[in-house]
Amino acid sequence: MSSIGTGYDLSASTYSPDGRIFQVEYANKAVDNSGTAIGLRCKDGIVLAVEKLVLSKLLVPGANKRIASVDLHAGIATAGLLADGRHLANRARDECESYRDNYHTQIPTKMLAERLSLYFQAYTLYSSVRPFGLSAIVAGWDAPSNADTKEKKAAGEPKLFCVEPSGVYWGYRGCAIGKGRQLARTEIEKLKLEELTVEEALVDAARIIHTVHDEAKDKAFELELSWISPASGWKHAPVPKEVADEAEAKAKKIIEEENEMEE
Amino acid sequence: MSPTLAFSYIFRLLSYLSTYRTEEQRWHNTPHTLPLSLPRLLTSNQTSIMAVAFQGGVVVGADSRTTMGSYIANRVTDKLTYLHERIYCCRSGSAADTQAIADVAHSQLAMYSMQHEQRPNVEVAATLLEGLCYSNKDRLSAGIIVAGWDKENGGTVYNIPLGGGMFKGPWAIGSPHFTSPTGSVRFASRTPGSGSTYIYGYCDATYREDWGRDETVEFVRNGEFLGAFF
Amino acid sequence: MNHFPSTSWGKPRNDALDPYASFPIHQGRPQTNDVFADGVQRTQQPIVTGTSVLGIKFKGGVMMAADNLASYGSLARFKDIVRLHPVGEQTLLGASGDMADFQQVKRLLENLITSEALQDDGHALNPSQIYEYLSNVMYQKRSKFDPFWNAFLVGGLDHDGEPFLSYVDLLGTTYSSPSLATGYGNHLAQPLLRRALERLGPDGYKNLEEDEAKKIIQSAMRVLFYRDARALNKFQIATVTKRGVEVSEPMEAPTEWGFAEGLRGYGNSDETY
Repeated sequence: MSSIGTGYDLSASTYSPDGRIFQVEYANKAVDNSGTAIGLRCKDGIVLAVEKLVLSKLLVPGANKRIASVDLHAGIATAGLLADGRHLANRARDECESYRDNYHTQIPTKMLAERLSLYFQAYTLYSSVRPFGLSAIVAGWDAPSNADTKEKKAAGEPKLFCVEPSGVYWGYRGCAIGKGRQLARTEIEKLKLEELTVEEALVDAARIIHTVHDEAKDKAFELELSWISPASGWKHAPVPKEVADEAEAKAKKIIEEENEMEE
Repeated sequence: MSPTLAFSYIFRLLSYLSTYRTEEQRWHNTPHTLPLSLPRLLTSNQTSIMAVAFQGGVVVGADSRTTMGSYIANRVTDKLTYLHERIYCCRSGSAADTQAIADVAHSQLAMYSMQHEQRPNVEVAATLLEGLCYSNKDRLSAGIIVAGWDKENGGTVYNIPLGGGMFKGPWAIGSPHFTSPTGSVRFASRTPGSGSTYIYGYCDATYREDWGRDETVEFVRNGEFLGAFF
Repeated sequence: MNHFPSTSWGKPRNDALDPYASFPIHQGRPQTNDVFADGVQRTQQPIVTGTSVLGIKFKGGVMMAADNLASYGSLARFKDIVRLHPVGEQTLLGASGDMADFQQVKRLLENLITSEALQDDGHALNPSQIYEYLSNVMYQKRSKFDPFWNAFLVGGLDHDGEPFLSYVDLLGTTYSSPSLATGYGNHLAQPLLRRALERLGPDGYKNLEEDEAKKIIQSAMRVLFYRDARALNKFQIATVTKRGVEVSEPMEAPTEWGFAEGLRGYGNSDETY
């Protein structure tokens, strides 16, 4: 690493002579060390999936969640430092509540992503703080403000964004962050996201996480799944256990079949 | 210290003490209502404001009179106030209060449309005004109607009367209330103007949901005309 | 205690000033002879108000009723106001008093429910927890001399499936009973509801069927419409049962307006005495 020993990487408030901020780049490394997280924007909702690496057998199943609901219609999945992720979720909740207090409507997902990105960016400006070791996938369902019935709720649309440590954010059809992001992206690109329903994409999400998981380096992991779908009433919620188990079983079967074909 | 100097010092001290004492007494004996008795511009008792939604939009109407007591401070007032491209409000109550509120809402809406990169719905404008009216209800005398058109809901009318509640409806007319010279707010139902119960009777009996633009304009014209007399 | 939704709400009635309560309700008590009363008034007053809410427990649930009127003084201003509001999946809030404050309370409770739901732990607040929160809010507000000018009924099914029904008002006063009413309803309807329950023995509500409860509530709403000048004969009934919270469409109670022709000594009669 060319940055090491130069002294230009010691503070987020110092540029290197070629205009880079190494502390932010190091923050990206923290993200790359983390288990993969993906988001798929389908025609009727969104699936978030996380490869949650289990660090100790002594941990209770389901502990240390990396997907959080931040408003009824929105959730975030994070890759990077766990504690930063939880802090971000709380910040996102505050932003959602503040927007609700001001406008009496749910925050549009883009506004949420933008506000979070501003928060990220503020942590790249000062020598006294470190940038977030975190990338976040922000998922939401933007329904018309007068959506009080199921039909009107259904008239909304899914939105997906990804915020990076530097404070930039992009809108996506599908995105992946963390360790296995490269492979996951290639897999996501093969999907016809505009045609898929959430229920169908659930299997793909599970399959992709299982595919990118590197058994040689990381042993145990838990598949964490959440969705915004007609079945969840267009709310962001963890996928019910039976549904998640079924999707995971199907995914495993597909992977096995593919492996057999190759053999 | 010379005797003269000493005397003058003691005298000053005494006079200071005595002044202080009377000042204190005066403070206690003064009724602290002075700021409240300053004249306020009122557009309340006789204001006739009205907004009616129809298929493709809204019609808003108002008289043009601002009074201070029975003196007409302005006979050509514009009470229909621009909030955003397709949203207006009708103001009644204290002119100062409602102008201030409308100014704040106007700037907030300008900010909103830049941040969201789209026009605010009428509901958003009404919500912002409601927020201002509700959280300052003890300090304001403002009865506001917000009306406009947006893509999602078409022509829309919200009423925000004294207490700072927000009430949606196909039509709205001003709230009957008046502000006493000391600034406290009273509401009454038999003051002249659009808020008069008589005009309620007219609106209740006449309004139809299937009206188009021309009928709605005629309705508002009649409402304003009647409001001027009853 | 004066239950009229006037400017004197929540204050004891001053019999020295208005011994027969003859002053128009919407104008509240007449001014005292304090010439600066106008200048020092700080506490708000209710403006757009809703009248009574009724509530009764029955076998397997709770029922509430409130009319659709929001008054502006004596003016029947808004006739499509919903005063029965579901809070979460298992709780119902019925509101009388200031409608602007009611709207604010709805927003507070929405925030409460949302922040609870975001934990994704499968737990939702039950009615008694929501009621506890609301009554704390009401007491805090009144202690800041800035009360929410309301009387609320909170009803629902608690975690053990037991019907729950409680009252809280602008003073932070709280109490529970198998039947409750706010405002005028406390004078006019509560005795009727109590009588209906007492007939069914101790814990009478456990023997009260839902359709029977509905009849009692409807007839009480009719009495209120007859005798409360701030009431409207267009009301909703809501229930909380195992089925969840259900708020009905607006309905009417049948009324009778024949003159008291048989009455001797007054009215349409050429009898001589």
